[in-house]
Amino acid sequence: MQKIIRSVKRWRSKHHVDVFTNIPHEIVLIIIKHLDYNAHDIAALSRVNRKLRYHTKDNFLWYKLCLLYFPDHLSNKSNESKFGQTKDWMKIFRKLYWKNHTIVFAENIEAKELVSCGWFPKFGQFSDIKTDHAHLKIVRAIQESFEMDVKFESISPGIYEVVWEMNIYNLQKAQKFQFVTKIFHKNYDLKEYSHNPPPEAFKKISDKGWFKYRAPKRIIIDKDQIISTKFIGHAKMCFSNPQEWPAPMALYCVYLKRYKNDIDYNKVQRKGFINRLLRR
Amino acid sequence: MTGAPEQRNVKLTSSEGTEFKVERDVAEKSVLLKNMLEDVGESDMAIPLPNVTGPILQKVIEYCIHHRDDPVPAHDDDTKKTDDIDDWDAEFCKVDQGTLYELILASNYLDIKPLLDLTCKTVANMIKGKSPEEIRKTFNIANDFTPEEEEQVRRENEWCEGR
Repeated sequence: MQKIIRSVKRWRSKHHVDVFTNIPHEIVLIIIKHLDYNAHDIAALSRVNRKLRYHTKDNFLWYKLCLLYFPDHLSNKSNESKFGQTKDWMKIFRKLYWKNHTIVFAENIEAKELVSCGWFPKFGQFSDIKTDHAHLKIVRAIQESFEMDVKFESISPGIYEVVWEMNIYNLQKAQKFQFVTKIFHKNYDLKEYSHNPPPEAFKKISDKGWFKYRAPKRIIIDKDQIISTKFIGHAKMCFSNPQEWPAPMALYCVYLKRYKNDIDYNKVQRKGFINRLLRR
Repeated sequence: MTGAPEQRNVKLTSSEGTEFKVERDVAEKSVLLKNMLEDVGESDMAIPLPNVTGPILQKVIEYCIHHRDDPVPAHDDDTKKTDDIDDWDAEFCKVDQGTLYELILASNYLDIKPLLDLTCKTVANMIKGKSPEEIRKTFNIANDFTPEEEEQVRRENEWCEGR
């Protein structure tokens, strides 16, 4: 029975037509260019279906990505830095990726409640910071509406990604969450990215263990800049029945993932340089 | 921008045979047509565009008319901002996905780089930051991986964990 269902599904998908069904390869590459060659977006595309996997397997594309993400590494090792059909650049990219990012953990996580509405968490429950086996900083929040504020100061210039690692227990209803990342230079706000994932998405992953939430933008940090990132959870409370109170009991840790070294960064800043690389 | 006193009209025929009259500088936004017109010279013959349907050609012409005075993009690369789409262009791209796809193909065929970039950028913006499942939903794409393939793809992408 299972087999039949599967084959029917496969038959259906074979005869299903969507935007990407007949799209020429070069156009997919232009779209990828407009994704700013973000490796995560490209990886997501490759997991969509066979067609897109085929399009994103382009060896030259991964060669470009290697140059873009790890220009230094490649120029040092001249034997690896040239494009040749024989090499699997996707593999090389993966290898370099693992090797070349560092993780910056948040030192202090400041948690505060936004609305208390007469319901107060027991002392210590709201923001006790613990260290777990994986030496991650953890905040546990038991509150219906709250925000977590994390500042990363004195970080070295580079390309960063903000990652929230969390574990949401027992989310009864879909809830609104918001991630805001701000970049400061001294006291000036430079940039702000805000992202509201669909509430159902969190409902789906609640009670399923640890997961990582990656803010969709890679950010470029210059000297003396500060990243401040916030997680805001909004929930409506139902007063009549404590059982129905939403319990976004979540454990958090936040870290920045940084792509290797300052020299890379300088090159990334000079867009012309990258363009020249890409045109090779 | 040519400043030529008399603008000759150019006739174009879509795949269904509908005829469109456009001014020459508008038609020349398309590199394909520009080269064609240069090669053929002045002619009253309509240029057949069998790969483009009438409604899409209409849209393309609308785009070319709005952007007729834009400077010719200096080569293809350079400091163009990738994430900004101006209001008119954004409005122009508010079409269903089928039309958007047709526009991509038409601009590729007619070789209108700014329009190709605009439409591809629009698609890219629909992809940015999404999970594979969200992408499938957005574009109504069916997952045609077998469980074995799915596992393999997952392993291939382990480097970007859990997203």
